[in-house]
Amino acid sequence: MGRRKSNAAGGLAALIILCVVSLVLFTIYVKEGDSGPLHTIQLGAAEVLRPVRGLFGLAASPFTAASERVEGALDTSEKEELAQKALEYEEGAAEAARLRQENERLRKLLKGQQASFTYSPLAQVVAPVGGQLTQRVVINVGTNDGVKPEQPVVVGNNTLIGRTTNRVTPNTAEVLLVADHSFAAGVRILPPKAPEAGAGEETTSAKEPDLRASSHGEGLLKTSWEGYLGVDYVDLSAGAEQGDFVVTSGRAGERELLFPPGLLIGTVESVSSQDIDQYKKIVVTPVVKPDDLQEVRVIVDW
Amino acid sequence: MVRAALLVALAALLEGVLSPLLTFEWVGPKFLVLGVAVAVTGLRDLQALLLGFFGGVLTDALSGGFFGVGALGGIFAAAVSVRAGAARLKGHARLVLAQAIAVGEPPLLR
Repeated sequence: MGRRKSNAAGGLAALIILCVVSLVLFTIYVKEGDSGPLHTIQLGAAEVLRPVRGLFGLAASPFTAASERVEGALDTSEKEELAQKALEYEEGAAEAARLRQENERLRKLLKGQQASFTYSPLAQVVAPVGGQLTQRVVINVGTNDGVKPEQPVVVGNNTLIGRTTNRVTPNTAEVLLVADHSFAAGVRILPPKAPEAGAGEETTSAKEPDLRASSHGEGLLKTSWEGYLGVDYVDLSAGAEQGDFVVTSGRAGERELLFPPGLLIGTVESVSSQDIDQYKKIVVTPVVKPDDLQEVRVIVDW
Repeated sequence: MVRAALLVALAALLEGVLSPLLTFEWVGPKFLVLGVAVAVTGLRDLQALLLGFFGGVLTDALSGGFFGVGALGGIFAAAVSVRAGAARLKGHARLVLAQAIAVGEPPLLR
């Protein structure tokens, strides 16, 4: 009886001691680094067992695959997380593409500016004004940015799109577009630049007016009551042709006009005349459509 | 005693090699616990505890888990098996108890 009691007490003591030893082992394992003795033992054992594990792994691969499929079917959180990430990446790519496009457009705007002109800051079109018969918009620059009434408004490569009206506030300005019936500008008709010798088909010179060439005619750009944008008062002897460019003339004899010279307005769409006419009838297609307007600039001085 | 030690060693080897392949989430066979519970039958308390402890250490070395966790599991399995033997439980009851230990292990011990 006494021996059994001492045996039980010894067993309990051994249990406690071995538990403490186990906890000490655990503590050492956690505290030591990856190069500690216990980690080294595990690494060595893993190396020894690698072939055996590989063999069993090969045999169990169908079951493992099935298990992973079941786990994947039950746990959709990873899939949702991946879908969320994919969505974020798509949004980022769309934003990057938009910024790249905007950057390219702004670069084009800055590239086209002339050194002799003073521009207002880039302005956004805030709202259209008026009804069907008026072509006016409001932009978000005003007298605080140096904008005054009767100043040319351009977009892109010095393309005239209109002028400011008398309605200019500190932060906004009303713009009368070239297609409005009230708009008028003195213009010259110029031929396109001749292609450079040796240039390929992709040359852009034919898309620009030749400012040094002799004029194919001068007149007044105006929207007729028939609804088309045209150049009035062009002599019958003028050599205007389809495809010629219409640019502001800037001066008429000794008189300085409202707009600086050389601002592109559009291209000649058709030229016609009848024997009873005193002038040629020239229809012009504006380079910029009013619906495409985004950023514009006001030329405040030249 | 030698036969019991070999049985525990085999259980530790199976635990290290086969258990990772057969574990699904938190459910998996506990070869060491089963081996210890069976092997320590008829051994003295101290012998049984030592066998469970070293079997657990061997499992820790082979399985790559936290050192000491398998040792604790082996000790508990041996202790329960010894107490079950002292209460003269049948063999199958002993296995049920061993599996109860395995299922009852706290998550940290897995």
